[in-house]
Amino acid sequence: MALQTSGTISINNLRTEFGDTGTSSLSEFYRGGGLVPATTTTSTTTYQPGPGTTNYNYSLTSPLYGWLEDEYFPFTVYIYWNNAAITTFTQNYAGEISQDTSGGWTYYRFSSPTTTGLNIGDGTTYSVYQIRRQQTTNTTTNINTNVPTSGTISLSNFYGATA
Amino acid sequence: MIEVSYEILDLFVFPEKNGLTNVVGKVNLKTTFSRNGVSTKGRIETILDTDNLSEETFISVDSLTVETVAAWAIAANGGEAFLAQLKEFNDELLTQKENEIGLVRYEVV
Repeated sequence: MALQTSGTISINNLRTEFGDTGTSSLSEFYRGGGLVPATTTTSTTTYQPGPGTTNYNYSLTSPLYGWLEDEYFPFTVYIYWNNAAITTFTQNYAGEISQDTSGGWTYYRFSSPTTTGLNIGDGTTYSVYQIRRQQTTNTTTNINTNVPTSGTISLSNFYGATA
Repeated sequence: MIEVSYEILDLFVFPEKNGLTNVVGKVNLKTTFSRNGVSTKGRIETILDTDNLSEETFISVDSLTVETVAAWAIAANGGEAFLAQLKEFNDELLTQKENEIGLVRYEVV
């Protein structure tokens, strides 16, 4: 919880907020000095088709969506998303791989195929799974900007400061 | 508790970049999530950020460990939040597999 934004701040408030131990002095609380962070990172996850993790896409006609798996050795997987061929890889056995991270997105297949024995005339047959994807991005923001990194420091620099 | 292990499937390097040799630029990993004798597998293919190289932190490709490469790949995809989501997805699959072998949770009173 952030420190108060007005009134009297004590060094004990700083110790509690930033987790200092032993004898404290203000010089321990410079921004970026180990106790007072200079940045915070926020993770944001995007789900498609979303919302959340329960919905999947599946289409064998344009636009193509699906996790295609050759039913025979080497059990090649082809991932299609909105008509784009995302990636291709082989497996040691059918169904070995259940999620794939490529190009910053992680593609998750449903646990069982929607279609099996799909014949597209290339001499093999495919199982096709529903598919969804998600992406995590981290945003770093500067914080505690009123706290100096060196030089003169006072308790009033810590209004609104946070661990 | 889910145990996670990694296997390097492929490493791609820049033979020379910013005065450094064999700079890893792309990795391809297989991930294994294990619990109670069952496991699930995934794959991570990632381009690494090689724009901010420094001699001080550079690790020669010959000295790289699987754990280091995996840490880079995870960081490039969102770090701990990314790994937590992979574990969340695989938790469901592992539960299914545990059920398939007849392993169910016993409520201790």
